[in-house]
Amino acid sequence: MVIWIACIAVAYGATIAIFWPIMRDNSALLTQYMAVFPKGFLAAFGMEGSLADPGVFFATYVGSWLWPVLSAVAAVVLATRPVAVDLERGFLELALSTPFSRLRYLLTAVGVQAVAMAALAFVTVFGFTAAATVAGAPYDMARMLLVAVLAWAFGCAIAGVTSLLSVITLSRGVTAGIVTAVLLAMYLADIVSKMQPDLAGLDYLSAMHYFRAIPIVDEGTVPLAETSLFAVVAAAGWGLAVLLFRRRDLAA
Amino acid sequence: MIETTDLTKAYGARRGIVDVSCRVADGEVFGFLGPNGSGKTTTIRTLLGLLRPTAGRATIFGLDCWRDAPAVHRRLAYLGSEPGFLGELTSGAQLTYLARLRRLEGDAWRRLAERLELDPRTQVRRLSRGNRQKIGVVAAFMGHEPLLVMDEPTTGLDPLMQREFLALIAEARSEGRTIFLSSHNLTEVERTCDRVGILREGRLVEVSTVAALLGEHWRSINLVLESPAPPRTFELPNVEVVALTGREAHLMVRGDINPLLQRIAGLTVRDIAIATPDVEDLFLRYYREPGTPDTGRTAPLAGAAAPTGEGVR
Repeated sequence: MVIWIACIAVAYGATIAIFWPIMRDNSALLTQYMAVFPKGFLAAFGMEGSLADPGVFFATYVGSWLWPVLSAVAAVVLATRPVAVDLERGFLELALSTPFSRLRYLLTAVGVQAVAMAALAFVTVFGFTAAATVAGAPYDMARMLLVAVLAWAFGCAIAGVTSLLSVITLSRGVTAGIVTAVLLAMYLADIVSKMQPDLAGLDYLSAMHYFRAIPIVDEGTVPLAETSLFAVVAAAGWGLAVLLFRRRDLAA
Repeated sequence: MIETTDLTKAYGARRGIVDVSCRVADGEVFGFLGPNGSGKTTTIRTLLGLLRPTAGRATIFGLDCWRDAPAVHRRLAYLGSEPGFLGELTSGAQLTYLARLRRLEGDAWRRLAERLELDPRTQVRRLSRGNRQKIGVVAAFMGHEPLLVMDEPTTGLDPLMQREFLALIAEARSEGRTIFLSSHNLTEVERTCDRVGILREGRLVEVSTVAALLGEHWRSINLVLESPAPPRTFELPNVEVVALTGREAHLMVRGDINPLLQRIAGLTVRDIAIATPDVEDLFLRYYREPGTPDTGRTAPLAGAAAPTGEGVR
């Protein structure tokens, strides 16, 4: 499933990336067209300038929606598998009736999530970047590496929280529902905060606020604080999931 | 080897098991008998450390089942009633994976799979329920752990495989391994177990040797009469009516049989069969609805076990 998600990410990213020359050549026209939309609305979807700008181009087509959606789907698939799904299908009690302890079981699963999320983040970012570079877009690989690291941390944060929800609910369906609802609420908070200046504070509640690719791609800003924040959320989610998993009843 | 002391598990307000105390000795085959909802699976999951006891204690090899679960698991093999496997794997790959989790040789399963005619190349998701259960049987018996814990192990197995399973149990027993199995298959318990614990509504109502349960004290009498017996015909202190349907009566008699024969002498009997009862008779007796007088019908098993629908697996 995660391989399929990676294929979708690469196929979509590469397809969009090769349209970069068209964006560059029609930049003025596109900017004129976009002017009909509220500025805040466009900003919420990464369109904080010309689509010919590499940072804006990436943020609009990958950073603002493709990666958050794909990473959330991957997180639900990966993080619910070892607990909720294996419990529902009856495999968990077989696995946990072996000398493999609960701690090792879930830590192994967390390791798999972290590695899979890293692979997915790098494939998504560099699949797009490679195609865009071939199409003539001036992307700096070192800066895109920083974007990939931030994307990885973002995905891990979702996976950490999803793991915790999976251990609490023991249900993939409920977990997926909560993750989807929270993600939509964050999008909404991001949009509302940008469109209503008096609600600007809502922005800080949204993970999207901390996943901004434009300053990294265009200015080379190192997203240390944002990456650390996501890493802390991921570690907290996974840590609490492990603690709870060791202590709770496990029965379908 | 296994010891539970006032073991209790509640699911919030729902009953699980209540004050279950029993002891299983080394090399013993112990059967846990009860209908669905009586608490068999809850007991086993508590022994496996999957559920934390609400009260009381369970130990295996002297180790606490919850706190020391991984250490306990090093020396046991488990088979559930409907084990879930990784559908995307072949049965061979699944067994290799389980063997590695149990620190066995990767191909420890091969000889047993051949014996049970399990095709290791078929994807698990394409297997029938019976064949999936075969994977579970192979997995349970592929090692040499001193304890086997099995929850309704023959569910889904065809009669031939059930026979093979009983043979495997006999071999394990001859090797001195201890077996704890739950079942509602009375024949299976009768054939395999040294002792039986009977669970009713989460409580262990009887622990006895199968021989004692089936022993000389009880006799089963099946009567076919010319016409239905008058009311209270079989009301005697040592007689229990297991079933009374029209002209047929199924009775259990403890001790002196003469008072009953004197009652029967006043009736026109078309047929009579007297036998030592099988486990099923005893089982029905334990699961008769509470408060039901001995003059009447037999309670339905599941309904008797969980009359309020509060039973658990």
